[in-house]
Amino acid sequence: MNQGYPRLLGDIGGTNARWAWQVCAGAELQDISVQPCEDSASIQESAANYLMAHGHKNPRWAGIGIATVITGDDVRLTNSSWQFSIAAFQKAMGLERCLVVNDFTALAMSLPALKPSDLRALGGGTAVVGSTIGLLGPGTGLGVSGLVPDSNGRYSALAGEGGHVTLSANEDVESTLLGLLRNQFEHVSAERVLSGSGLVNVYQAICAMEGCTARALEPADVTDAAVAGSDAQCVQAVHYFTRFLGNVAGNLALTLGSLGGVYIGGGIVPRLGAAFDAAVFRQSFESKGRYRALLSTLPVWVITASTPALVGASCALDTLP
Amino acid sequence: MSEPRFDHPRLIADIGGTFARFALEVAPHVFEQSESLRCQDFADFHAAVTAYLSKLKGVSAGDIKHAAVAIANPVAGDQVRMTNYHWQFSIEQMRERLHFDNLVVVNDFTALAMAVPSLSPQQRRQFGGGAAVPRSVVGLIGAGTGLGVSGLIPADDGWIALGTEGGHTSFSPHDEREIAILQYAWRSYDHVSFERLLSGQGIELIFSALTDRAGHPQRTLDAPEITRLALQGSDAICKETIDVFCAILGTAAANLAVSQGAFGGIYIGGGIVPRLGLYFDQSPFRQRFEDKGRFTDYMKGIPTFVITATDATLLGASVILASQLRELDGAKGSAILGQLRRALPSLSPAEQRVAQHVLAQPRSVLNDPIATIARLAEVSQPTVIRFCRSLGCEGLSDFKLRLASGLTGTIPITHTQVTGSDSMLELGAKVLGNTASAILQARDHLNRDSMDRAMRMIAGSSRLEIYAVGHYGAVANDAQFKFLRVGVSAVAYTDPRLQTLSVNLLRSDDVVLIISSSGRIAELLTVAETAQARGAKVIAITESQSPLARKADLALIVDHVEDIATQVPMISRILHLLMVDILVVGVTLHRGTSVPAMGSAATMGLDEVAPGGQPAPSARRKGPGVSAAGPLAHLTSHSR
Repeated sequence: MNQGYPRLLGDIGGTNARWAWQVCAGAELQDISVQPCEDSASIQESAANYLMAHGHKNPRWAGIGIATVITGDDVRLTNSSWQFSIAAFQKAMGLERCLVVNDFTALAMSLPALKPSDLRALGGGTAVVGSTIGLLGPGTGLGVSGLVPDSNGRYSALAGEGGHVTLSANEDVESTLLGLLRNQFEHVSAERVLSGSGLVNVYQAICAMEGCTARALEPADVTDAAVAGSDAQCVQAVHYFTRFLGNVAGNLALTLGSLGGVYIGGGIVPRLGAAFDAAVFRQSFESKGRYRALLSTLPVWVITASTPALVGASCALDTLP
Repeated sequence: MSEPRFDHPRLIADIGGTFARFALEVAPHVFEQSESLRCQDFADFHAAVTAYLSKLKGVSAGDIKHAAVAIANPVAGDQVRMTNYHWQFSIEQMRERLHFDNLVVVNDFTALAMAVPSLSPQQRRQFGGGAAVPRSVVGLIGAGTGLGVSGLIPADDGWIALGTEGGHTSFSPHDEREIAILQYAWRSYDHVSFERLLSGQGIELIFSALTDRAGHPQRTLDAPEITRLALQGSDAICKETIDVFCAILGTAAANLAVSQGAFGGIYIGGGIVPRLGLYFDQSPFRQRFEDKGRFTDYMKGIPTFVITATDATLLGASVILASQLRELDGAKGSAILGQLRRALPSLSPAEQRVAQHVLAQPRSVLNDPIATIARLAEVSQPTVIRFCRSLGCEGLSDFKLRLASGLTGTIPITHTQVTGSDSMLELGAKVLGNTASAILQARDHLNRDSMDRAMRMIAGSSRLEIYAVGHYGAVANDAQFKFLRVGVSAVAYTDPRLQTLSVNLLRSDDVVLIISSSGRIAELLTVAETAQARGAKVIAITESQSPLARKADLALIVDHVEDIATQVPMISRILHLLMVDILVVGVTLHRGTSVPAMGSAATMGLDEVAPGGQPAPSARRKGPGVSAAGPLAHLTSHSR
């Protein structure tokens, strides 16, 4: 598998582009760099700036995870203005091979390579080795994927858009919040609450429910206020965010039969740290009637590693055709 | 059909709660002589199969070597118990009774999933737009008695069917009306899953909720009646019910499609939708499926199909059977059996006798010394060695090794010594490996007749006393707990003085179970004598040829030599526990209905399951819920 090095690895989100360099198989990633997308006009400019800044020349292969649906050569970001042709990028950068995958697919590919120190367990449960694994990550959007093992134990990653499942409610307050959000959006998907802007949506709905005026807050303001405990509605917003996340994660586990457990990536949950209440999450995750007993045996982990998607982009280069 | 016919036709069955469908697969995907039998006309599965086989024309039962059965309940392990019907059986025993080489039992929804890639355009109907991306994930959803959900993931060598419980995901309402239905359902259920609404009972629940919402008095209509009235267009609430049902199915299908990235399309099976006919195509399903706000364009590209083939489940079962047979052919040990079958004509007549013996009893050959093999095959010992060399093996032990590696999956039938230099990993592997081989051997040496007699004795007793000392006290206590649990009045004594006191109170209709590995403990021999003197019967779980085995009225033999000098007895204790388990299961079956049911007041809270939390073993299975039995798949059915 020692081919296609050195590699340029990328993780392109709606807000930031992360780049890294890998010299040979198994090597630690080096020169990991974060650049705001808006600093560059295109992905090619961003990549060229990175290579120049770190004095790297002529990567042979590039693997890029990107926060959008990949359906062909033409790639458009949902939340940013970047748009490019994979073939044109490959040619312009002089690459032997360029693989562009959905960033969540890349994150999924990284899961088997994660170490215990990269993870925080939410409650108990034991993974059944060699079983399907579920993955979801609230960040700018809500990414969802899964890893399915074949008979040789090799995993293939699902390239889904599970963030767009219709949101379900498990009790009356959730149902009320759902009703309020429905006034605002024609389709209330899980992403409408389980993402940065989703957290703000929940905050606003909580304020509406409690009859107080919502302030104009950014997602980071909501998480910061919840972590500090300085704003009752922000604390409530994180509480219901946690419950909805548990509910959606439980649905994903049942839909995929993921006895290998569920991993939570994305930027929001690690940012909440101890303010993310594992008990509230588990309660909601397991609350599936007759299937409580099954779900209570499934482990759930928060991915705390800083750049798992970059590792995954390299894994994807080795695994995908 | 240009496909070659099979050497042996394959029996394929689809067992539902009401009908058992059978067909003969004579060439790949070619079914003949299919027939539906009513389950209630037959006492058990075996009777139904035999009845079908006896009707076959041009085929005698002995011609059939391989069979696949799709069944409407979860399949995990060897024991199959139908959820909605009283049939139950052991896959391995059924295979032996029917004289099949291989019997594969698979969940019917898994079978349906595996049929999808083989469906011809005539066997499915696309409605709405979209086009499948070849070799992409395919989602499957089927509403019937319950809501089945599965997915097919393309892999190098075919497809992987996901074993999921996706029907139990939380219902996500799409509009005010569905929120009202959810709130109505919450009156009866803590958790409202999609299955609560997308099933026969679900139709009735939606109907009831909509009747309530409209302020009409409740009517008692069952799902087929509601469906009929809706299709006639004669009843507004019934029509609304079916429309809402189709819309909610659209939500569930869309959630499945985005969760799995099912660019290969969503296939709809199950009993309900085909009954709606073309009404379904006009229903709100597709509109709801596409109605995902910003994601509408994504959804529009995904095609949706109704499975129209009536024998799709049979097709899927046959696909799984074919892949299992390929897998068996590919396994190392079976490769040598396959090699043996092929080489048979070229072997000398004497070597052929050895070959026939190996094919007939591959398992005993593993354990028999060369002299026994030679005697049983009626050849000389050098012939056995020549036979091994003809197959490219260095000698008998090499042949046994190759045979063993396939017969037991990854567990060689050997006993390895744990040594001080072993790493923790090796140590674990050796302890587990040793235990597993011992269990395999115990299985091969199990005496059905004496087990059966022991079960009858215990089932007919008025009181069971269980005696053991030392390490085996744990086994006695376990036996007491289990027997009490199934309604047998049982008590365990592990202290010799208590045993002496208690044995003197026994009566003639009591039974004593003595558990002793060596069968040479003086105190236990004495209480056995006293018990018999008082007219009680003595069953012993012990070593063959031991004083206790000779003294007991019935001995259940567990032979396992353990090196007590270097390690505490471990494996024999597990074998004893298993022996007790077999007895308990047998006694339960024997006693029939006089046993307190699971979850009844007598047993509630005894197990470590939290009260109210019901176990869901169906989902704990690994993989797509397939169990197989064949001479080569003895154990793998449990670990697969």
